[in-house]
Amino acid sequence: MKVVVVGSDANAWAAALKLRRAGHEVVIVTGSTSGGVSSLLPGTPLSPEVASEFELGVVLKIVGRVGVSSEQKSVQLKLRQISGEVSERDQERWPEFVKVMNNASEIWRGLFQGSAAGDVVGRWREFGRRQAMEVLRVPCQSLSELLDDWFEGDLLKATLAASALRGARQGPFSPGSAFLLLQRWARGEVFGRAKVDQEALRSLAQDIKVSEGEVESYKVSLGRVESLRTSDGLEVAADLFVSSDDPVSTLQGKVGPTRLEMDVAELVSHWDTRSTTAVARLEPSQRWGGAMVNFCDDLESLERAYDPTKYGRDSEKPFAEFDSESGLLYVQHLRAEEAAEKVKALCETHQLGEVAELMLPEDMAEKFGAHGGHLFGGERSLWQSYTLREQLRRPLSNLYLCGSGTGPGDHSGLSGLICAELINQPVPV
Amino acid sequence: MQKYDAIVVGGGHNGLVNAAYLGKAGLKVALLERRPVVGGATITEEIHPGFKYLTGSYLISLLRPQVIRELELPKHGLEILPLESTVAPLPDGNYFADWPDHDMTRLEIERFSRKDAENYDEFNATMRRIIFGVKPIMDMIPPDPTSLAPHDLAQMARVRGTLDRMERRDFHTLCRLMTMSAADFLDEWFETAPLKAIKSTSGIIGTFLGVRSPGTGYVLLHHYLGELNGVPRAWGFAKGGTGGLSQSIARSARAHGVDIFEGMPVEQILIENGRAVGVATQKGDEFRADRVISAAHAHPTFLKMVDSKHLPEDYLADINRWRTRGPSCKVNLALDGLPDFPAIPKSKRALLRGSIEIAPSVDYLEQAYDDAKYGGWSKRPFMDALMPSLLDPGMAPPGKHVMSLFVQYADADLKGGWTDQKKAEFLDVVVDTLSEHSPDLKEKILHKHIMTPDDLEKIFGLTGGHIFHGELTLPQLFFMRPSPQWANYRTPIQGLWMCGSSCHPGGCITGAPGRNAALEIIAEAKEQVTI
Repeated sequence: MKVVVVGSDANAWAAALKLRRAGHEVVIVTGSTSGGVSSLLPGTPLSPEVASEFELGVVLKIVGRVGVSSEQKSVQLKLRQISGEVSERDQERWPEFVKVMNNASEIWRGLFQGSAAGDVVGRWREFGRRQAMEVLRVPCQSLSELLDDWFEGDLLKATLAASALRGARQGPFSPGSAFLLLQRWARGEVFGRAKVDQEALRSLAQDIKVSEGEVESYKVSLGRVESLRTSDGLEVAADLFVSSDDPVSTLQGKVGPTRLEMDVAELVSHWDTRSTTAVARLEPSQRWGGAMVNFCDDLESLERAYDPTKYGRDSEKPFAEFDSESGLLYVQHLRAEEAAEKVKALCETHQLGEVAELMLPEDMAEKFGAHGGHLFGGERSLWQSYTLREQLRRPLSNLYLCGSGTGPGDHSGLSGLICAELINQPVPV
Repeated sequence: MQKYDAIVVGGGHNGLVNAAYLGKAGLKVALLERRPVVGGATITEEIHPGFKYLTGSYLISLLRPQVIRELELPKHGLEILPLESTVAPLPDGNYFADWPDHDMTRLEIERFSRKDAENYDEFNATMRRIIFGVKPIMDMIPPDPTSLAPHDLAQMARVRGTLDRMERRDFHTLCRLMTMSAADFLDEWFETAPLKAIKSTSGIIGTFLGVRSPGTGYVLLHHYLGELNGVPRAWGFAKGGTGGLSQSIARSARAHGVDIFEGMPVEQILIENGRAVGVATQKGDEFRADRVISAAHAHPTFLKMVDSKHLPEDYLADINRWRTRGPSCKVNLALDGLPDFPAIPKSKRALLRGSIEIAPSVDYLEQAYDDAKYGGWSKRPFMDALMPSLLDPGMAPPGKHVMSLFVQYADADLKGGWTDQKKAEFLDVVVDTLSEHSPDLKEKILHKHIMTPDDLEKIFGLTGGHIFHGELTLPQLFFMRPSPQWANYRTPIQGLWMCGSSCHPGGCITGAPGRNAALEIIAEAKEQVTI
């Protein structure tokens, strides 16, 4: 079969490689080879499944996490221990908390590893009643419920919450917001960052043909995509199309809602991609030894930063996550109002230097074609996760989505791998 | 002193239902109520002479029809008057009304949006299918999902079976509804702002969350699970107030031989050799029984009445982290005549016989939550007002009226605590806000009375003033309510049971925890006799 893969992030590369392995003729169509919106998340590690599939070795680097308050107090978080501005009681409770989060992560990852549901439930039961129920509670809770149950230190709680809230439009009081922490924890992003990034995947795919061009539209006839057209007027026909773009821009913008089944069109129209995360490019900093850094104070101030977004306004006092290795700063929640001044003030407080570039959600939508400027192709909330995130996997009979808008909702390549495996499955007779 | 088969601690509606069922099954039951009259928060009180105030609950819908039937409540004096409508006066001088009757509401929506009126058909049909699918779960004994014991596995299979019967599409809608916010869910269906506001209020009743908080979709669903005389999601008013309902259950219980002791506060649940054997009252009496059933909130039950040395550490930890910070107040006004709501036209005055909701927009409701959530109260609160004297003239002297107001939000953990001055201040906020919609209200007020979360705790024993005995959020539902493994109305102490709203299926006047617990107790008692 001739397969066209649209996009150039880890998910697209993983799908393309896996499909080629199955003997398909694969062509990649991409506007920029830089990886689209995922280029703003260089810290995202590849998933272990992708690493083992393509023999990439160790893909995660443990760097730890640091929380810094506006008064320059700090906490250092590592899997084994926490230090800095933390109480003895919190230090004692840390290992038990890590255990619950690790177990919950194992179950969450298990749900995407293609294991049978029964096996996942079996593994869950093995934890024992108490631990199993703790694991079950995690994703349903709000961050404040989860963290208040475990810890007393404001900065510690805020650091964990702020790391969960990066790229999300929720507050720490929102029920289900602990699920955001679980997702990052399960990917190793709370304490680690990518050691090998999508470049490693791309280097394996050097012989795959790449056509440059932004996809402008898909030509659909009788529920099948016949070809796609790029902005340069190039028309590419194929048997199968796989796109790592987000569901809304692909289906609403490029396919057209009238070409979709009613159920699918409805799902797409409800898909939540409203982002309030701004990204600033700064100089990388050696101050924190390559760690991920959260600038935040306490849970209440995180919630207060979220409140105005509900009425369409921006945070008065935004909080942020800083990837000190790449120099990217993720600021919550900013869309327009005096964004540059607010980011500048934040950078001055923490001596981060000059802002080289500030991208607001609408800039990211413009530059990368990501609907709503969303970093993950749609909110990673409970109601857009797991099976509810898989509903848009195959919107048309020969169009598959393989980006972060499906699967686990990240740029780890796993969604691409899952997609390719789904396509490679023998058709049931 | 006489030995009983069972002692029920607390005479709220669930305690009464539980006692009545046990009495009906032939057990010798004593029910001990702390206050001078049974009813708990299901009560009518004449605080201002001649005016009957609803200091707790005020409407009925979720009461399980089995409870009405099996306890023969109509025979014991229960009379439920249907509530005809809900109306929201709007700031622009318009109004929006909602009826239990689908077609009437549809016509009303058509005044605002044709498209919404059409969507309303589909919305109602979807909600009806979902409700039909999940309602059986209300009457189920929650299993322990980690257990491989045959009865737990069988019960899990029953739950799965119930959900499997739903269409896949509806099941997905259910999953989303359980996790998303009421406002977001309604946004997917409708464009009419007042319609979304009035419907979204079902998602925040009694819950310390905003209409835009994820999880309020479930609370909305919870309030859709009711029915009245076979009409789904219809609401009604008990003649004589909700006290009329609790009195009818008490009469049914007495008819089944239950001894009801009023003004008898329980000091301690007696535990001997790890088994509950009775209670000691504050007056120094002891009642002995084979089993003790607490209808009280989980906090007073396990943190006051039971010595913590009898409880496993895990269980105690679960009770301690139970979320029960309430956001609700109850206000009652004695009125010298009917107040005017200019937004409601003279020809539609019949709407005053229903609920009057001060919920002009989703933003208004969300702001009310944001004002209160950091230890404060809403500057302009959400209110559900009702004039019971229009439904039952016996509630106020002739020509006068009484108004019951359910008000949100006021934080149970108010910064600086609830003092008399703060109480009076918030009462003024409530009256001022309502006066914006009814200019002549203030001059008609003869007497006003407020129950803050602090009062609800002190008077009804609801910790944090939480009207549902604890938030109805996912980590506190079904097999987690109030603690995993102990959601089947049993507790870690042998012979000690729970039957209040701290158990599945949670708050509102449902009678379901009381009934479910009674059925479990009766089944176990029978087993013990045969052995």
